[in-house]
Amino acid sequence: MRGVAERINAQTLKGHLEALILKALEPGPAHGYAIVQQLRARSDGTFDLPEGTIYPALHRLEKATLVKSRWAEVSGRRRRVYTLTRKGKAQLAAKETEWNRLRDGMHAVFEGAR
Amino acid sequence: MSAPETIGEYLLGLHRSLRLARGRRSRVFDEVHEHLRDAASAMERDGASRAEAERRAIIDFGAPDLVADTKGRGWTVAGIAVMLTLVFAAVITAFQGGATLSRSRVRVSAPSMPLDLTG
Repeated sequence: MRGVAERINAQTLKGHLEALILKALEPGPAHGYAIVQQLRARSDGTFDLPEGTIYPALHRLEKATLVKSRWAEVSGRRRRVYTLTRKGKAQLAAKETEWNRLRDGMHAVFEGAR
Repeated sequence: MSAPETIGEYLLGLHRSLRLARGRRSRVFDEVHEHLRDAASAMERDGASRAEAERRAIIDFGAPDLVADTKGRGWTVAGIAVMLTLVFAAVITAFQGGATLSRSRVRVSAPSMPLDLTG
């Protein structure tokens, strides 16, 4: 687990949280707690934000019809499970392309200057 | 008010904070409840006491107002202001339209006054 200084704070992450949630839902439907755990694990602890922030983001995505949700039984309990819509998958692909361009551009500037 | 120590206390605070229609509020409330239960259970499995697990789950989740601002707030103060502005504008427009018509009628119905040819 990364130290405090190595964790990205919630404010920095805020603009990217929705894209990260879309990515977390790519393998399949998940509830909020599972999404948080996935983000934490896949980022090796870098993305460690207040867990409650996931719900306003999920609800914004649902309002934008990028995800849909339903009640489902998970491990014997009733949970709200979210799924990517077709529009959400397209948005995810667009965000990944945008991110890759940004990453490559940043890398070129930082590395090219040496 | 002191910080909540148990999931129950936290949910009580959340219930007070949520400004949503009843159905939406119930859904958000249930989602948060299940999330906190999952988080606390995971910590108990890692060896924490129930009380400590709940306390840490609440800390990791964050303050109720993080979640309270969710799901489209319905009639917010801003929304009401916009609605009133639109209604006010519509009333003014209707009033101005009616007043112009009234002035025209006065000119026509007052033959003793000189004709207003300026239009």
